[in-house]
Amino acid sequence: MTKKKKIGLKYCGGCRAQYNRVAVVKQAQQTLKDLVEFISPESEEAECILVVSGCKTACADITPFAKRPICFIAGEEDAQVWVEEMQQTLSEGT
Amino acid sequence: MVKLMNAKQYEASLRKLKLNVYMFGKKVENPVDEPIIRPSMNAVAATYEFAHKPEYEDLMTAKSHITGKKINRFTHIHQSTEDLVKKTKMGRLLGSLTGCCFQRCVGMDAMNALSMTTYDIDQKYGTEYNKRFLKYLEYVQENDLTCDGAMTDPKGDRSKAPHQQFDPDMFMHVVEERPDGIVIRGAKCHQTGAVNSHEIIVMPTISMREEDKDYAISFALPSDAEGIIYIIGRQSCDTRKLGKGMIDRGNQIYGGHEALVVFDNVFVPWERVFMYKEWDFAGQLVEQFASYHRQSYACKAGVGDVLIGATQCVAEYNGANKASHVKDKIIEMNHLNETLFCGSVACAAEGHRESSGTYYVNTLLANVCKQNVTRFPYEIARLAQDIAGGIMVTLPSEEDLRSPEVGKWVEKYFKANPDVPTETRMRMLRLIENITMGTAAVGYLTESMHGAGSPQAQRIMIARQVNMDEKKRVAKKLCGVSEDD
Repeated sequence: MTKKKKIGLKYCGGCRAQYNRVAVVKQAQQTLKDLVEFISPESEEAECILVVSGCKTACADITPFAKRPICFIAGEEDAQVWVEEMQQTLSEGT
Repeated sequence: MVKLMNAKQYEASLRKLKLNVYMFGKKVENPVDEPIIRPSMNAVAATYEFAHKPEYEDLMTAKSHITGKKINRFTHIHQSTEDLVKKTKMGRLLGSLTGCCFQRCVGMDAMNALSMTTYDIDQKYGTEYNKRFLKYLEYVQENDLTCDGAMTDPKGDRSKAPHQQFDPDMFMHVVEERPDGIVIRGAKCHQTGAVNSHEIIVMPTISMREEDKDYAISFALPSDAEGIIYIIGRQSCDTRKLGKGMIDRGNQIYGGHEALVVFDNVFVPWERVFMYKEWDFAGQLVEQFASYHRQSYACKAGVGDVLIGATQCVAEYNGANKASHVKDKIIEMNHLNETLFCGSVACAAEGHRESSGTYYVNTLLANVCKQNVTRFPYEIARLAQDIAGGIMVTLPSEEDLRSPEVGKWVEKYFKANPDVPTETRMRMLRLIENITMGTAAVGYLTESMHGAGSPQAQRIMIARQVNMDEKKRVAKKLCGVSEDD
């Protein structure tokens, strides 16, 4: 069985989110269920951080994650691109 | 370890309080389960619940500058302009999720103002108020408490200063000084969320002169301290919450409340006193609290989000959503609503660091923000009622909808768009009614008018703070008028 990539999931606060951030993440989780495991961004096991912003202001505080690779999603299209990249990268690695 | 409470823990913590609450002339033995008060408790509970949700926690939590621990943002002292902006965003978020006043901002604003004023008093008089206050703040943060910020005195005859009043209790004052503390007497009006609070933080209500020094006091008390009495204020349509069914309530989950809080010879230990007769700092504390609180009205943009959403739905249910004037009115509602948000964001982004280390909003912009709040929700509400139609106020009750005798007529004659059930339309109309003229209108309209100071208070501040000389100088230069003319 392939080891799943552990990704720390960090949301912005969502004050004026332009799309349903939680639903988009749920969809990504479903699509990548064999490849990725979303965990707390504060966990030391997180190999990288996925920052899910409700709009392009992307105001989530990412200072605690400065030492780790960070990916950003600020819309549904971003999410789709990110999912495809993950599928390609992680499938190639297996 | 900070106890970042969740909603259930918060509710349980309220049940331990022995509050002295009255409503409709009777003592309320169990305020938590009292149906008229309960929705307001739900709204405060949301401030706890959402702090645990990953999708909101970036706004709902912060890092304590005292302990470095994660705390609820409502107990935080702003350490940067980013913190101030996040406070604005948190207000909008919570308004947009609850559709009402969630009551907890007033304590946050009181604590931030006190973090600055206590420091400044100490600098002038060599007192230790700031040290006392920070110890108290740590207690609030560690236990994740809700604090009521109590400013508005009854004020009696508005033409008279506190010491000139026909009744000295028209302003909160000291009646006895003891070795271990003080005894105070008076009342605070319009106290939002008072019965849902663990603590009450009292501040003076106006600038004072030396003759008023017995009234220049600030302190904190547990909300169930001996001698404190709460008398719940009525709200339009409040007894809908006692009726059968849920539809007629409009907002079925959340709400707000206000109370008159009487302090009948209440003892305050010295360690909880943050200002004592320093009359020359009363005005500063009032101004700092008011400026923060005027920023806090970003919440109304959040409530506006709910009202706009409800109005769009009703336009669709009525089959009127494609009419150009309806579309234009909804654009206007959004324009006004986002303008409210702009003012709050601007005063936060233009904030600065005070000597105490606390970040403070730009006061001119905070007053402009609140001045808009005294007007725009009324116009947004007017447009919502325009689009909803007169049916909003002539609609029969849920019991009529359920009636075996007349239910079929309600069902038949209140249907508009054939694809939308009558009950769905009724529910949405009741929500608009709730926000624009029911229990939530207390928060969305009249609180917008008078909360954090009535409109004239902001106009005085705006007049004081604009740089009129510079505006005149440039105008003169551009049209060739000499500086002396």
